[in-house]
Formats: sequence, structure tokens, C-alpha cells
Amino acid sequence: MNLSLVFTVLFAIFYFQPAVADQASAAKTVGPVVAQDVGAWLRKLNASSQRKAYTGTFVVSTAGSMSSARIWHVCDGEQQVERVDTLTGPARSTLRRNDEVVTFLPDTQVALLERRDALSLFPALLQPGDQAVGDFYALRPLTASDRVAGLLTDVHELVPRDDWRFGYRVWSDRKTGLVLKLQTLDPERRVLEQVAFSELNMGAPVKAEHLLGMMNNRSGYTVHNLTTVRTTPLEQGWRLKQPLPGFSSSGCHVRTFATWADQKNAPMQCVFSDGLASISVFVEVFDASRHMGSGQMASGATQSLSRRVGDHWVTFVGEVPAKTLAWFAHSLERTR
Amino acid sequence: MTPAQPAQRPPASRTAEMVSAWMDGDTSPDGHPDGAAWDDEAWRASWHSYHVIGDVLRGRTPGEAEDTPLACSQAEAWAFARRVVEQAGVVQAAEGASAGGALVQVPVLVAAPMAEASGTTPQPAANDAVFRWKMVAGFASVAAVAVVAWSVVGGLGGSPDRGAVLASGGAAAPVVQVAGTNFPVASVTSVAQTLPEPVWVATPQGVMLRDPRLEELMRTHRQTGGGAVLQVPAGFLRAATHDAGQR
Repeated sequence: MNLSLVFTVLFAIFYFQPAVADQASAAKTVGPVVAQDVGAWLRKLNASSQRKAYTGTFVVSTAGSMSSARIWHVCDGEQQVERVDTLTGPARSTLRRNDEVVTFLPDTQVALLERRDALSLFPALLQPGDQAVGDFYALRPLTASDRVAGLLTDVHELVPRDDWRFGYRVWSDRKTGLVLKLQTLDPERRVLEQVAFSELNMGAPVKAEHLLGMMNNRSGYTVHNLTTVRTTPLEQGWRLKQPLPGFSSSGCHVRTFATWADQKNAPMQCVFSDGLASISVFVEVFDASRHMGSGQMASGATQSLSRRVGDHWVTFVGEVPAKTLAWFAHSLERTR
Repeated sequence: MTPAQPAQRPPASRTAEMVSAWMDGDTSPDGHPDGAAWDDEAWRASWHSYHVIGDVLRGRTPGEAEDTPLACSQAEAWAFARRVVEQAGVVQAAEGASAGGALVQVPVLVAAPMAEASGTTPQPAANDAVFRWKMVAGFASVAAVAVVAWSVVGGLGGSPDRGAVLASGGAAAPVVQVAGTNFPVASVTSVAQTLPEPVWVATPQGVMLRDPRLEELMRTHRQTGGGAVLQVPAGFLRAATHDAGQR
């Protein structure tokens, strides 16, 4: 064996190693924090990917579990239409046209209709002029590029500037900007949750009319309408006496859930966001028979905290550290 | 209502130490000198008093009767814990429970399909032993609450078909959906029927009480807020995907 072959092999091992151990390499090859506007970067990602049509398989994994779904996505400039079929667990087909969502549960022949503001084509959070997100996260390009679902990606890390929020590692398609992989990182930079495409067919011939046809064909299904009515925390008699820096209200609704028996006690949901992370505050009338004790729970990157406040039961849910929810819990007070 | 162990059988300090070590996960009940920890009164009493102390520390007083964890008798609590430990061994081997079981609308010990009912040979995971003791550790803190749920069920062990799978097995019985989805089947089909019931699930942190309402809120949050900002489809996708196979 001649020497040059040995060198070639060594070089190859050295060269390809970073691509294999993406997590380790990504952590090591952190570039300098670029004074790039985080908001602008997010808007660019969002805008560039929305106009694409694609089909793919999407995987969500946490430490203890994995679930996957098949997705069809099309955007004709005016509307986004999407279909997501679960591949793990109970069968469920979710179809979305902008903020209208229909969920089909074939096992029970039930269809759930709802409207979700936060899924509108242009989220209010990403409107130009919103600089806040950059005050709380730094954008760090990682020099290691990586392939996800067969596509070459750019890798960036969104590093929180304080410990009230988690960090993110984002793999975006070099050509289209579509986010192909996203990791949520705890303060020790451990991955709490990962969402990624395992397979993606960009530019697939997805027809919006075809998906809309499926969305509107509910024959044989029992249809339940889930309603949401806009409100404000003050209208409902609540306020945050000491808001957490960066988190501002991005909408408040009274929601009626299909699975809840006492529809008149529909909970209020207020969403607070810092531009990346969001926290939902759910307020319901306290009921000793079902509110079984306050406590904290984690599922992947999602944390929850429940507690009783007077005659009400408040549940905080968010992709934030537990202490952030605790702050909200401490800060929320009744005004009447 | 027994706030402490029976006075006529004060547990020896040695017993207390062993039970303590067991609850910390440092040993197993098999470490009992006679190899029969389950049948040892002193062990039971000591074990029970741990939970009573835990309840008191959590602010629950022995005076709060029927609906509190303390209301459970020592024997009930013990039997329940024993059953959990025994069933924990087949968690990972979970395949669909026996067919023909009606949809349960009662609490379900998700981690516990009975091996004999499923007709399959349990394949213990490599980390089975570790997992089992995590279960106990996680379970210990909530064991008392568990008994309340259990007494509603009327005996989990007696109805093997109520077990659900932890893994998303293909041949899943209907109850799997109750445990695995955030649209509990029983509730969806009869919207105004009953309140959702708590469900037990095994998580990497141990056994936890899964409240369908909390799950519903988490799901709602994921759909309306969580992750939606980084990219519109990401949040939506994550919500639609996450619920299905989770837990």
C-alpha cells in the first residue's frame, strides 16, 4: 500500500466526518455572531418557501418517541393548501386552506372544522419593522453545511440572549429557503426536540383544487364545528402584572373544544410570543372533579404548568424553559 | 383512613432503610431478606407511611377524605404499586391487547397490556431493568393519586383488554386510540357525553397521569402558536404530526 493512498483515506475520513456527525460538528463549527437582522432572516425564509409546491415525509422526534406524517403542500400566491396524513398512531388527515382547517378522523368518521388565526399566510409576528426578535436571539451561521432529505442546506443557530427561552438550530434548503430540519435546544445545547423532513419532493405536481375537493368532501362524516371568538385578557378580567421581556400578546380567543362536555365553560386562550417561542395561557372555570392538582409537565420541547387562581384553573403551555412558565404563572392576576 | 402505619407493627429501622433504598431506585424489592417483600407487613407499612408523609408535605391533610390520595387504604395502594411494577416489565413489548374489548372511558394504565392477553411473548428491552425502576421512581411520587384513579377503574388487572400499547403497534386495539390521540375516541363520538378521564402514561420520566384536557390544550397550543413562527408549515406540521404517535 503506498503512502498517497493512506493519505487519501485519512483525508477522506477527516473530510467527511463533519457531515456524518452533524450535531457534534454543528456545535463545534459555530461561526461568529453576525449582526444580521434575525427578523429579516426569518421573513426571508418564510416568504421564499411559501410559494413552493412539494410533497414529503415529516418526522417529529423527542428523546422518547418518534412520530411521522406525509405532507402535500401547494401555494398559488393567493392561498396555501396543505394536507397532512399521520403515518404513526391513529389515522388522521388534516387539510388546511390558509386558516381554515378540517381534520378527518376516519376511525370514528368524525370531521372537525376550525379556524386558526396564527396560521394565516403572513403571520403578524413577522411583519417588517418588528425588531424585537433580534433583541432576544442572535443569529449564528454554522459553517458546516449538511444534507437533509437529499437537499443541501444552510445551517443557522438562533442563540437566545438570556435564559428565558430555548435556542434553535435551523437547516434550510439552500435553493428555496424551506426549513427542512429544526432542533429545539435547551440551555446546555442538548436537543429537546427535532422536526425534519426525511424525504421531500420539491416541485411535485400538487393541485390545490384536488386538495380542496378532498377538504370539502365530508360525506359519511359527522362534522363538528370548533368555534373561536376574539377577546382580550382585560375583557376577561386578567392581566400580567409584570410581563416578561420580549413576550408580547399576539392574540386572545375563547375556544370551544369538540371533546369538552361543558361547552359554555369554554377556555380562554391567550398567546404570547417573543417572535420565535410562544406561550399559551388557557383559563377555565375551576372544577374540582377534573382539575386534579397543580403541576408541571414536559413533552419534548413543550412544557406545561397548571395551577388554580381563585375560581379559575390556569394552564400555561409553551416551548420555553419551565422557569418562563413559572414567571407567567406568578405574574398573571385577576382584575375583578 | 390510616394516616400512619399501624401502631402495633412499627417498622424496624432496617426495613425503613431498605424501603427507602428501594424507592430511590438503589435496590429492588427482590433485595428483601426473605425475597418476599410483597408479603412483608413491615415493608408495606413503611412504604405506605412514605406516601402519607409525601401527601402531607404536598399540603394534603389526612382529614381530606374520599377524593384525596390519603383516602386509599394501605392495602389498595400496595396492591396497585405491585401491579404496576409487575406490568412494567412488558411495557416495551406492548402489542395490541386482546380484541373485542369495548372502548374504555375509564382511566387506563397505558403501559400495561397483559402479556397473556396479547398472546405475544414479551420481549424485554435491553434497558428493561433500568426502565422498570424509573417507572417506580416516577410512580412513587404519584402512587397515592393513582389509587384514586384505580378505584374508579375497579381493578386494572382484572381486565387485560383495557391495557393499551406504549409503542404505536399496528394491530392496536381501540383503547390505543384513547391513549394515543388527543381526540379520545370515546369523547369525540359523544361530544357532550362525559368529562375526559385521566389516563396513565409511561414517559421517559416515569409514569404520569395524562389528563386529556391538558393534552388538548397542548395540542391547541402547538397548532396555534408553537413553532408556527419559524415557518408557517412547520408549526402546523409539527402539530399534526406530533400528536399522532406521541406517547
